[in-house]
Amino acid sequence: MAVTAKKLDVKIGDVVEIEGRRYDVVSDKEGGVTLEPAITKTVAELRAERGCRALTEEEFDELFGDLPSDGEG
Amino acid sequence: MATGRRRPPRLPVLISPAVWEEEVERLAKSSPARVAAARERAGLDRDEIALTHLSRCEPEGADGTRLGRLVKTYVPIDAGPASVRPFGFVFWPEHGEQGACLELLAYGERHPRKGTRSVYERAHERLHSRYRIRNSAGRRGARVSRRASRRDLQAACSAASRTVAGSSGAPAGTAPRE
Repeated sequence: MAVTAKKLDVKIGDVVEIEGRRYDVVSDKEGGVTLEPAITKTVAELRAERGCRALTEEEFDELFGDLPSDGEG
Repeated sequence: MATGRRRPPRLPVLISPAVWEEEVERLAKSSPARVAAARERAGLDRDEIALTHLSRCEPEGADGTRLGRLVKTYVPIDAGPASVRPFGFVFWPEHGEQGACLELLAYGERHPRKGTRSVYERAHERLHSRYRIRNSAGRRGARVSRRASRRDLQAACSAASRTVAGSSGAPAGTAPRE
């Protein structure tokens, strides 16, 4: 039986909703795109909800300045 | 750089239900990634996390992510070698009512198969927000595309020398579009 494709006019970075669930359009790193469950909550929103503030550079260095990093991300 | 002030050995971890849902509950219930995260959750809630389990993220990763001033831990959280700890939590350090703490930003595979975002890419998106993701994705894309184009050009030249002349370089549609 022939399958009729639904053409989507989307690009990487778009959010699509399918049956009530939201997905990010992301690169499949092979020239195409794929869908992943959406990331919707930003740091700015989280911080606003909690009333927290970012650490100052000095505070960050004090706590984490001597931690190792591994170069992977 | 550490100064003379005394550092706490452990830091509390804050986990927003919305973030846990988007980062962990998106995974199949019996998947190794979800099982590993769930196993660590109780320990994080109860015992906080030792600074010795943390490392700093990269201000500019090879994959184009920008995670400066974030920290991470491999999962499972233990002293085992990195090669047997395929997942990771990425945290945003912040200052709350009780002092310094870590907010969970992202969870996932450190080196996933193609077509799946790594935990670092997920953290980048959550950190820089959707509007800036598009912009940064464009910059990242340009970088990746240039790399890909060089590869494609070399491949095309090789193919051309084997077959027919006239290749114009990178074949259309072969460069990653991100």
